[in-house]
Amino acid sequence: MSKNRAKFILFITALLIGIPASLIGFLMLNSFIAAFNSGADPASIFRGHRLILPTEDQAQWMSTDAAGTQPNQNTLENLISAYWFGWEALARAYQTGDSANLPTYWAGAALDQVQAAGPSSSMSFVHNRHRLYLRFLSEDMTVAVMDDVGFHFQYSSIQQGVEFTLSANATLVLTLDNGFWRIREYTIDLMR
Amino acid sequence: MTWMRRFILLSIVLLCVVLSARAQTSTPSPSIVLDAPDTIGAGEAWSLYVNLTSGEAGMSIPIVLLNGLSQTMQTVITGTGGIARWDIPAGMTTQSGRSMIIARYGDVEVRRTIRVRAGQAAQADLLTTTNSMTAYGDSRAMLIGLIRDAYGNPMDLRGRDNEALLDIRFPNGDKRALPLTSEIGLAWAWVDSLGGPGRVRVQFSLDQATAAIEIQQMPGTARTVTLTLSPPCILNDGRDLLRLTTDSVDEHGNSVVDGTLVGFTLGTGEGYASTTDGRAVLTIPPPAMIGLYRLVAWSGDAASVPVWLQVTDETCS
Repeated sequence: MSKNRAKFILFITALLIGIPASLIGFLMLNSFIAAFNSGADPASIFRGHRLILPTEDQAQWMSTDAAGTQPNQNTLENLISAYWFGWEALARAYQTGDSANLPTYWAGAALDQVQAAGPSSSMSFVHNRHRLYLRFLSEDMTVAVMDDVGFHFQYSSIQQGVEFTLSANATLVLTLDNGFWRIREYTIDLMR
Repeated sequence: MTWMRRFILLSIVLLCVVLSARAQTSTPSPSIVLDAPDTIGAGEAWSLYVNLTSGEAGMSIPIVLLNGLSQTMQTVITGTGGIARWDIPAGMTTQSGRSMIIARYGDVEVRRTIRVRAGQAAQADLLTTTNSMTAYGDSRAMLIGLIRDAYGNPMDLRGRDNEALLDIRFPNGDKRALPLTSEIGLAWAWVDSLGGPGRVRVQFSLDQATAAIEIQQMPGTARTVTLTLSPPCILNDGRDLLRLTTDSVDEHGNSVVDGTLVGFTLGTGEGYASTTDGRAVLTIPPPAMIGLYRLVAWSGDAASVPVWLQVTDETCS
């Protein structure tokens, strides 16, 4: 076998191994990044957190005259955004049956209660018209108590053939954990 | 008279016809009556009675119980007299607030609310807005208690002001029982510092819930800086080192907080050291030129009395 032929065979062998290896490596890297983007805590650095404010019909501050200390605009926006997305996470958990996203917006006793409620994909959950009254904000703006008065929500299940619409009042305690507001305690008064 | 009798008889007959027709066409749709206690404690067992007013037995009635964000569906079958009972076991209706029962039968939907009150305080988190505050009453911290029952329901402490107290022990041994301002699910209070530096121990206890936290009372900023020099006279042979020592205390004579930066000025040069137990030490080679050098130490706005260093090529007396 000539030297050139040996080089050519080595080149072809390297090509045959190298191309699939590169392809597999690229696909693995791609799925690794995709896993972070889809499965990671939305507040994590891998996903980032964009401040998205709900529309007035979805949620709106009615009063921000709080005991403790007065909020600034930044705190109000972060609070209402996190609160809205807390309910959205619950709605998604009902829609998909996957409650992995709940700890991003719910914490402590509230998270335990929401998870114990067992959102399942057999029901859909829709909510809107959150009218918020800030009652207390701690001096360092890390603990807040607010009322949500007369919000509407709807459970429906095609499988079970039920659908009911309710309005409710809620009192909630939110805490700022690692730069992200989470619902820590709640009490809900359902109304006829 | 005959006409009168005929008219009355005809009227009676017509009335009977109308009444019987109405009775046949409007078969009353049965309504449902839900009988449940107005208030229960979180997690308690209770019973719901469903009464079908038509009295029909063997009818299926789907019921939804909405408790906070949890929902339970159950179908009951009426027994004798159109009555059905649903026994809700302990540990099922755990979320406090106003819960809803919805029953449906045909086109009829009946809703009833039931109040679930939180149980006794079983869990508490004590938070503070600052881990340290300046002593002597110069600053304050906000303390926040998150108090819950065994099921994680926030407690409404309004009306229990005499029970929901913070027991505070200051570094000098003083004790205070501080009342809390109550919101639903949260109680809070301002705590002013008292006495000198040290640890402030805060305890909260209500029913079975207890929580404790510590806040550090820190000394104030340096008010007096005392500079000592060792040795005050030194030969310029380059063999010895100069040791500058400062003791920094606040306006109450307590050592400043560890890590306070102290600056030293020697002629046109400067050096820095940080304190431990109020003391900062800087060891430097002395100036090579003979002469009398002025040394000053300072921390914040406080400066020491100048001390003088003698550098000589002869013997120090």
